[in-house]
Amino acid sequence: VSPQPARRAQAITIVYAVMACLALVVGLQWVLVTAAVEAFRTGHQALLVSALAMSGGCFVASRWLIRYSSRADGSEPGASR
Amino acid sequence: MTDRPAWKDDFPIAWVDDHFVTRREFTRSLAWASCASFGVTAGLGALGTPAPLTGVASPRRVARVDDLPVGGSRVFSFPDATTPCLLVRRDTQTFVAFTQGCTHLGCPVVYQRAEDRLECPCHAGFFSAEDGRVLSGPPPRPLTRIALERRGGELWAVGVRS
Repeated sequence: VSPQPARRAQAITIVYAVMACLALVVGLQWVLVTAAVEAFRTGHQALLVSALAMSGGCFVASRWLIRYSSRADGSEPGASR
Repeated sequence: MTDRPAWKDDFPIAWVDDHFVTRREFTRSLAWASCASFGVTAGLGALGTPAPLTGVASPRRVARVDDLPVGGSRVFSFPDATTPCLLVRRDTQTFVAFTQGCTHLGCPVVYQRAEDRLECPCHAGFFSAEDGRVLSGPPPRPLTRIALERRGGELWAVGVRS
């Protein structure tokens, strides 16, 4: 195995791992949306603020993961698939 | 006779014409989902939780005493048209009223005469008909009590008790 395909395989593995993490983060955000809706309906201000803070953290994390993934994915030509 | 395999006739979609979802497209959709989720949560946070009903409101006639039998109940709106309340006649002389929205998820509560309690049928929450406190179930807070006043043969809602 030449070093070039090995590096490519490694990059793709990293990209898929990052995408899996991203999917988990988005899933967690969806749970937080449902928690926020319930907090809103029941008047739990503290829970609403916590859900908002966590969702903000997840949003920042997802942005970072996307940037990282794009960097890893774009490191090789033709890596968009 | 041709060398073309039979499955190509059953599945005539050319591989190159098939719609691929690229990693970039998938990642972009996740980014949008993340952004939308945060937007919804932030929107709810910006709206904030509704302020609890408190204080004095414009008095409002809710029923005539004779119109409500013992064990009966009636829905009315107070202090505004969007807040449904439940008036209950527990015995000949005792009238109570509470906001009708369950403090769990807002389902309307109903009066159970046999047990003398208020029930939220959505998630089996029970409130005392005496003072609206939670007896059992998921509701986190008691029902808000509406102050009533008897004026001759009529019942008036005159305020909200904390």
